[in-house]
Amino acid sequence: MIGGTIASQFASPDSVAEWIALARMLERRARLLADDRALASGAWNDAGFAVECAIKAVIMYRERLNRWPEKAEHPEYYDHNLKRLAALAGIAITPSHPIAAAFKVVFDWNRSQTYSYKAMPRAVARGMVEAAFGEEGVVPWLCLNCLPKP
Amino acid sequence: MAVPELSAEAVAAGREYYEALRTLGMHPEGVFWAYDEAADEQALILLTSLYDMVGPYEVSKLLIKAYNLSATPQDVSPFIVQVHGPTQDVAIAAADFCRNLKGLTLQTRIEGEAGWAEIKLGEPVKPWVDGERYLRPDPHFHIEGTALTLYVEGFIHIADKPLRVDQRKREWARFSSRVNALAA
Repeated sequence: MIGGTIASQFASPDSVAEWIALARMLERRARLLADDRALASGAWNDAGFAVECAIKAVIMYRERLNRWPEKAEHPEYYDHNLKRLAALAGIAITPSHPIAAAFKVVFDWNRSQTYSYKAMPRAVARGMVEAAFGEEGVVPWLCLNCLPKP
Repeated sequence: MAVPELSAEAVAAGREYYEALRTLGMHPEGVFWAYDEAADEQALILLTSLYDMVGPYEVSKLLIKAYNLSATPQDVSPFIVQVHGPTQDVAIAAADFCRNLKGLTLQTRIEGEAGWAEIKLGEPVKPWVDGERYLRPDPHFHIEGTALTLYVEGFIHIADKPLRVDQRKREWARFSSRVNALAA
């Protein structure tokens, strides 16, 4: 491709189902990495990114978008801060909400950790994976409460 | 991005939060206020080895439970408390800065005059009068490579060294049993 950007060479999710498919793929990878002493930080990164994908699926569903908008149309959607994205998706969680502890963990996720070359304790990665995908985790909760049944 | 002022109420609430955690049996390695540019909000940073030992989810469950039982100040929502383990980059950078804080000499501008004066960090941060001159230390410190800017006046606690493994285990047992006892 001449004159194109790197981003434009890859198909990014363009529907609720595609965002969720990407979230599921990241979940699988996060679960594999969480027990690896050297790669546990990858699980932490993937779990947070999966939550980002799930929230973006909720945004698409609630805003009735039939494609993921270009950045010029909705720059606020091009954000990795999960707290702000959740607010855009209309997800309001108070501390007394049963899912609050899981949301608190994922809200602390920070994409800049991706650049860290240091090993992460596996307990930290497992905790993030559990908060994101566990029985009372954020992604299952979003799928159950904020998205159409498959 | 301009760093918003940290209010005296926030500093007081942070201290109260730290004391509440100690009452509950948690002895954090660090508690201090920072401005998180990525989230565009002020955050109370909590450094604890428990994060590395039991993971963020278990720590989060107890912090939320303690808040909901009013065992921690209601002014400090658990969602503005950022928990980090001592091994995380942010924690290492912040802890290094904090540990050096008291011995660090800072050059600061004397208002109304051209020139700089040297003062020691750890001295009173609020403006003080020296003759007719007011000295104002820089109240912020940005940690390179992170979105965090620390408030010098917002330092509440920093430990000299991380807890040993046996200390962490005892701390977790104490903290979890006290919070769960409140809920019983």
